[in-house]
Amino acid sequence: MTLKPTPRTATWFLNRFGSNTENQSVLGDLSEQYQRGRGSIWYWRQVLSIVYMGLFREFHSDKRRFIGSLVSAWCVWGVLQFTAGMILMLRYVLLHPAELPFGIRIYGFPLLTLQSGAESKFATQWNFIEFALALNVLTLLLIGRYCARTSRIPPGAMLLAFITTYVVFDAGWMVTNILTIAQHQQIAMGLVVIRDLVALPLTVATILFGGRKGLSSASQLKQG
Amino acid sequence: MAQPTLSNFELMVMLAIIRIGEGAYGVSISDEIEETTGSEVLLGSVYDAVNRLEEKGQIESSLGEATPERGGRAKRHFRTTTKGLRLVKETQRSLVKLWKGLPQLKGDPA
Repeated sequence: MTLKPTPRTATWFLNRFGSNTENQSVLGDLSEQYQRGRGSIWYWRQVLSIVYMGLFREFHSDKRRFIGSLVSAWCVWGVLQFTAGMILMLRYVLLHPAELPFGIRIYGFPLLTLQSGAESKFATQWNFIEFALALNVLTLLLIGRYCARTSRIPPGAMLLAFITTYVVFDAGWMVTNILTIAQHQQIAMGLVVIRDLVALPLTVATILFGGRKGLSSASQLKQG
Repeated sequence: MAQPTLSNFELMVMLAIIRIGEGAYGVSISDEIEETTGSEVLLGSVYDAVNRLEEKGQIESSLGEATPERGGRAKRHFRTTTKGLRLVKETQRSLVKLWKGLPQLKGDPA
């Protein structure tokens, strides 16, 4: 009997983030329905409902612990972004001290970026962007690692909660930018939105990569 | 101690398990509820309800056979416990009492 392969990413997502202790039987149920002609959208909807209902259940089982863990993850994220921002600014000032009087601004969310008040293009030079990119990747990996290793709530739930709130904030930020573009016709901001739309999946993937060890040990425990 | 209660959806799940009898599992429970109520049921809400009911001792589960169309994965079968069955009967009694003598509902199709 040849089986129609189920959507791979959705199955991976359920395996990694499903809090259900019987994930294998759940996947079996989904596969059975999928073989009977249900589509990929149906499959994804079921997977998302299973995963997020599990997360909601985790939240309900101990709201204080859940919120406390999420807030502490965001505080750690803030500290990481602040430190990385300081490093970025320090490097820029050391390289281009003449620009300091014009003012230098650091944006920490959603991506760490630096803007110089001077008219020079140093801030957009490729070697500087590379450095900023490396700092971004490092902070994302570290926050992923922190989320997956925090012992107060399961690593999968912690990572999922952090990533979900991150995506929600990022989406809110993008909507604000789109509204600004609509009102003031700022084309440059449109480019920022496009950059963040491209960066968002990569950001999520990097956070997941940072937390991969905690995630894999947690799913092994579940299967065991 | 407060009397245990069933939410509307938990009651539907319990009734679906009783109706199906032997071999009730995630898909068959959701199918049964969909057929009876006519509205789509997310499997996530079924698993959420059965996990809650199992924790409260209203139902129990066991792993069944694995079929090829399930990718070799076993089914998780559910059945009601005596405690669960008693709770369903009590809920039915309470609901019937609440329904009785309501002039607004007289003449409405059941």
